[in-house]
Amino acid sequence: MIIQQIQSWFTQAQAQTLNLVDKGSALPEAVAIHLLRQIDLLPAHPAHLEAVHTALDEAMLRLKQTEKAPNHLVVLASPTEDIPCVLRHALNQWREQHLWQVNVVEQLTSTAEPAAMLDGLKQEITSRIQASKYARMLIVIPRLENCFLRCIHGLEGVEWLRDTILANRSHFWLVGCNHWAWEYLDRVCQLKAYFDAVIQLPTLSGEQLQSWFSPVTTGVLLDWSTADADEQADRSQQYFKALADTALGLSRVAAGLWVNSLRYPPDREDNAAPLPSLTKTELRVARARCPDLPKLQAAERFLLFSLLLHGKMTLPRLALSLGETQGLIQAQARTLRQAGIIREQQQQFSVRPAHYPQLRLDLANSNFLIPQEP
Amino acid sequence: MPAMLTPVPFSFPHPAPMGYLSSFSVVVAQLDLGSGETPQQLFRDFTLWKLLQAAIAVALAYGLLSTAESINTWLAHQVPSRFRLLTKQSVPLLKGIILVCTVVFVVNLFIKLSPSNVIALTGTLAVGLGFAFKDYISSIIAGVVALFETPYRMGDRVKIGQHYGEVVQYGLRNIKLKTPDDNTVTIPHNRIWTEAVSNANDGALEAQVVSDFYFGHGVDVECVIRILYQAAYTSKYTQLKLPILVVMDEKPWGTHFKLKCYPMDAQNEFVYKTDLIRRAKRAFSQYDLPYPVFATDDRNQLGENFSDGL
Repeated sequence: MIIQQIQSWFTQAQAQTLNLVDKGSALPEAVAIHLLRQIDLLPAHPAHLEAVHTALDEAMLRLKQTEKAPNHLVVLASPTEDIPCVLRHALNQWREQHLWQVNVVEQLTSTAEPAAMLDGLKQEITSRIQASKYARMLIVIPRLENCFLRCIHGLEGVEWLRDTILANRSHFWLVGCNHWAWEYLDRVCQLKAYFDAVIQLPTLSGEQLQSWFSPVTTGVLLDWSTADADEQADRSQQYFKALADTALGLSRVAAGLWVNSLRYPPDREDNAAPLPSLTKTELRVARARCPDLPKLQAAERFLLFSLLLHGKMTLPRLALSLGETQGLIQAQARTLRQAGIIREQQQQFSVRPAHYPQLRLDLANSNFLIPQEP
Repeated sequence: MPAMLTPVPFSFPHPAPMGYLSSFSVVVAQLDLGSGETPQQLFRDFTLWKLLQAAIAVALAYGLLSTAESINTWLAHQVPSRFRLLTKQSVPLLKGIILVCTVVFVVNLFIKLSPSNVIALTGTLAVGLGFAFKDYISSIIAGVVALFETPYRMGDRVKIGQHYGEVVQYGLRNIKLKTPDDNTVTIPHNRIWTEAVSNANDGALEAQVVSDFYFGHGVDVECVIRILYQAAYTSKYTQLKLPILVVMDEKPWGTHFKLKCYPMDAQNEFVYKTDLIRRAKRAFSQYDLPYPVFATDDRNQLGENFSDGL
């Protein structure tokens, strides 16, 4: 953590040499949401897809060579990354080249009842295995963090899944999980002792982020505080390098920081349209930096840690996980939402990716169990 | 030449302050300072300006001590949790440095602190203070020793005698404990000479919490142990980097289970224990678990100490 903090200071110092002018007003929320949605529609990064393909091919080859090879592959990533999206895109390409039937367990129950959750998980997986006419399948669990709750009897789903995967060697299991949940589940269910075929999605460099963002950035008129084309290209390159460092190489975090760094020019008229055409309105690029975290209370830290553990949660599941009443948790969640640290989409709360680096540091300094970033 | 004491008969100094002062003056009168220095030259000139300097130094020291403590308390709440105790533990040393510097400055204003004078004075002080301020000096010395031996530090949760609490102040002569009932208990440092100090966290942020559960002899032991482990694993307060353990013991009246685990912050120890017990009991209620039934003889044993070293 200390090394990460020192690195972030160097990154900020480097970013200050870019001479990007931090003037102008922040984008309205509607514009920011529009840009973020465009980024969400981008396909998964090729580096992520390649990592999954390579690991899957190696695992399959090992399994073909020896029956005792692991019949599973666990793909870990940061809680802010969209692992199901990465797995979906990876498998769309992979299944065209291989003869395995792919069965994705998408609709895992989101109940707040541990017994119902375990029954739902058993039913979902068992029925898919029984209904399949293939002797061998590639079964995909996109989000392992949906299979447990932090309550008594809430871990039985993961324990059952662990035992089923190891017992059911006729199928290959691809499991996606965020590494906070993986670290937690290892402590309570000793998962690392059972699953040794584990890969981490690689972090992205500045160049990789720049190329990944290009479908969105080409649709936006960006002002790099210089008229010289070569200087613009150079500043753009350095900007994305600093962005990658600040965002810890995480694509969704970088997306949030990039949008936060865009400004309307200071001479923009007040009565201008709130949603201008982004190809006609120049947006000034300021230095990308993490938004400041407000002073957090202990109860808020517990709530944020729960959200990072599970990625996204409904209010009942969040209350059960924290051992508090829904009314109390709702009040805390509202406060955090107003502060802009969390968001609510389709009745599920999640942490805004732009806050992830600072939040991670804060929780580590508050003695929470934080895994190492790759 | 070093100072010498010319032996003259004098009565053993009276322990009362006036008796001490009279013995002090007798001893001083006997000092032969060897090099021709007279006893009066042990003392520097008493001037109004020096008195003013001394008063200013004392006032400044008082202000610095109060400010250092206030700033440290504020800072301890601003820094991340894992630096909180380190920040608090720097206060006693800082206060010690301020006090020592002030005392040396003030004494040097009025007394020539040559090696011979210091030796003569400390001998006199030892005799007088040994009787008049024995316990006070013992506490001060114990406080200095405690800075290095660290039986307790700022932020530690300690039990001294029958008092348990968090060390919230580390003074020259004593420490102050804040008990779970929000009482402040003042304990002189010299208690460490004769009493054991039980320290729950010893400078660490975590302190073990032990939760006791009691069931009848016919209880499903595996079920209870499983629930207790899950209660600890799934509590939001639990520090998973430290071990979690369930131990049990047989009693004449039933079975005694102990859940031993650590919260992330020792300040939450009672809230954490409540959380564990509440959720465990909620889970227990789903099973038909027998609770202890006390016979008449067993009631007489209710006063037994349950802390039997498991």
